[in-house]
Amino acid sequence: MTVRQLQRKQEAWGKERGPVDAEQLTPLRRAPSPGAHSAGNHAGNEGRNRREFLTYVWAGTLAAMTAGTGLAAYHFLYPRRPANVFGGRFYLGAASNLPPAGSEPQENIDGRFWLVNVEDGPRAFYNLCTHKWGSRSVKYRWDHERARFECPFCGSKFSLDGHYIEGPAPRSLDQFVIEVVKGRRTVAETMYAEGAIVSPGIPSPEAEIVVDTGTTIEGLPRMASPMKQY
Amino acid sequence: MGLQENIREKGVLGAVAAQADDVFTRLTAGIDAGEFRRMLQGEAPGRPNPRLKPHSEGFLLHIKPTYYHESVTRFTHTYRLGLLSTYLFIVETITGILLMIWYAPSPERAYVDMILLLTNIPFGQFLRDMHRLGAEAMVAIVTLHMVRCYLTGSYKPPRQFTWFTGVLLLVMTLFLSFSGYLLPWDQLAFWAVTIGTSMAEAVPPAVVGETVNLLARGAPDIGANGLLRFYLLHVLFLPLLLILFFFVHYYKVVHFGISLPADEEEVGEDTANRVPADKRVYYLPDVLVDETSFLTVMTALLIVLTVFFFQAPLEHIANPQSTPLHTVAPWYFYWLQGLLKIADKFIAGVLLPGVLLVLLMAIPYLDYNPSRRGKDRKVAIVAGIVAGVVMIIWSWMGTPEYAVEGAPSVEIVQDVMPEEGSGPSREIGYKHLPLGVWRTDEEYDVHDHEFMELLHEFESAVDYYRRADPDFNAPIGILTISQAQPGLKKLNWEITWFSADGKEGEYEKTFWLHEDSLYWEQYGWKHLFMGYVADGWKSLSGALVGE
Repeated sequence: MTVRQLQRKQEAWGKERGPVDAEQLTPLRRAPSPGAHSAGNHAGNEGRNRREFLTYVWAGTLAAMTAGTGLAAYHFLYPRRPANVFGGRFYLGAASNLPPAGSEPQENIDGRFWLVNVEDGPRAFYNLCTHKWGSRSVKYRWDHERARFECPFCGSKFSLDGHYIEGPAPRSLDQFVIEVVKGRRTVAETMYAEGAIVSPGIPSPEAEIVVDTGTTIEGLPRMASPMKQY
Repeated sequence: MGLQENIREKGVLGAVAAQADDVFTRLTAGIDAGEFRRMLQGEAPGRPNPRLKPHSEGFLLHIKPTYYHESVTRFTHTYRLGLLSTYLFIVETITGILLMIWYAPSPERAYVDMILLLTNIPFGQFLRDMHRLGAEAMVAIVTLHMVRCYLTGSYKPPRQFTWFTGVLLLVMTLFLSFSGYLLPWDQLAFWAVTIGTSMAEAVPPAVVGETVNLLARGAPDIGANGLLRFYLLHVLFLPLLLILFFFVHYYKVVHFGISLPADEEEVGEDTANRVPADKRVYYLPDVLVDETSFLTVMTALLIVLTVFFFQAPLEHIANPQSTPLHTVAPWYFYWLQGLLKIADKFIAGVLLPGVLLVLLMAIPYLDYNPSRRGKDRKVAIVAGIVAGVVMIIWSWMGTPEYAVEGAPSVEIVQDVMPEEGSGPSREIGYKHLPLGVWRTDEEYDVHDHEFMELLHEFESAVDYYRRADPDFNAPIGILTISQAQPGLKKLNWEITWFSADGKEGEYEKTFWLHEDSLYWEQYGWKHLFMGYVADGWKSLSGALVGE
């Protein structure tokens, strides 16, 4: 029963018993404690009473709820990764459309990657040189004559399968994950294993090839490159 | 006092504490930490009351009264409906702004954005459901707020103008809710708004009506311009207007005080602003705690309803070439649709609503009875109840139940598989629709409880119209389910019957249903939670009868 309900009961009781001096009624809220204000700026009662404690619990719960809402808002606001836009998945169709193994690489401008098909399967190389100038990086190009990738700015060279050859670049080319999809199931994908970036293997011709430009695997350090020339 | 003196006097820790207390006092606009704790501990304020400072010094509380009469803080006096309306407006603003992030008001993108929001954005569906539920709740709560004020006679002097602005706010709430209707760009949106704007066309003379319509739609028909105009009305113009009138309304509420329960003051008197010292309940902290805890409970309720029970409908993409069967206005305009069915467009769509609105605004100026007590206001209360009942009857007339019934065969298929929305067939879904030919005049024993229920529903619909319509004799319903493509089933509904003079009739309707369509999740009420309840009950009752 709240103080107010008690008060109403008392009032009803008072009406039955005739007029009562208002002073005798319990006040709606607790009367000022003697000298509550004169005591100056002391921090309330010593210790906490139940009411104060419950208010803290209540406020804490509200704060936790607000934080939860903030987290939900973060997820809600976080950008999506639409298909065929850089950062999302690129659907390249059946594996039979891939360039023949060992042939010239194909550049995908929208997806910002070079698609190559080598003996152990397809790979997608992020088209920026791994030698970064500050936070910037430049696009390397395919040199048809020498059959290798060359950076026009820093002069780094990389082989068709992305290995570092020479130049100031610190590592081999970065790769996007290629997924081989059959039906609705991903059967193989590019992954990092045992000190090497393993391609998804040679896909069967009817399998779908998907390049996920949202997931980058950094190239191996140049020291680990089998092609390096000093 | 300078920092150095402070440290000399109180020591480093003491000075830091004093500084922190100073910051606290500035943030709360006048309440220091000690007073704050005394407030939490339930101690009465000293004299003069130091807790009035935030009202006079702070911006946020300057609009709130410093204390209320004890009688008006009782929950059953106001039911906090005005507060709840305001709060729902805030909820709508927050969820609305978030929804705007994934929405572009163009016919090319709007519907696609809705699909993306529902399928690809975390909490997207939740926010949309909550925004929709909050909007409908706001209409309902604002109306209830008005009913409460009417029943307690709170519109009587000196509060006539408060009532007037309140009616304006109700109208704005309705338009705000309605203008949001078009934004998803689905069939529901398109046709509800087409009907709504064509009502404006009935304003005489014809030139004015047409102009109003053109200005609202931005073209002879609703298209890209109309969508943009409704979007701007919904997100900018109407909310700003509503905020303006809210402050006018609330200023009046605070200025005159909330009217006391009628039998606590003499007839014709208004003592709301003369609160005896022993009846005062101060805003800080008592009313603030009351209001915040009430709103916390309401928020929790809104979240639970959104998560477990409510789903904002989304129909097919807007198609100007096809009006779906049983197109209805939003429920709060059913009464208008009902009126439009029985009367001329000008009378039902313009004149009568206009007169009703003016009457509603003028109530305080027409009602000369000075008493707010129920026993003195029998006529007013009976009139209010009659008006409410009439509204309900008109609203019922607005539903397809009244005078939109099509031919029996059309209605039967609409029952089991409506053109828009889910209906039983889509609800049980792809998996529960076995291939084959299923006739209502034969008995089947399929080992699929849900499909058997659908067949039963089909049968009983056919049977109902056989009995109800003398022109619909010996009807047979045939459902043919075939595999149109991998993952796509074709549902062919066929109904044959004999008319009263023995002529054979036939009706056919075809729908497709995809494996991945989750209609029961996309439309209408959620069955998730209630499904658990129903299953639990079934297994419990099964166990009890020893199944």
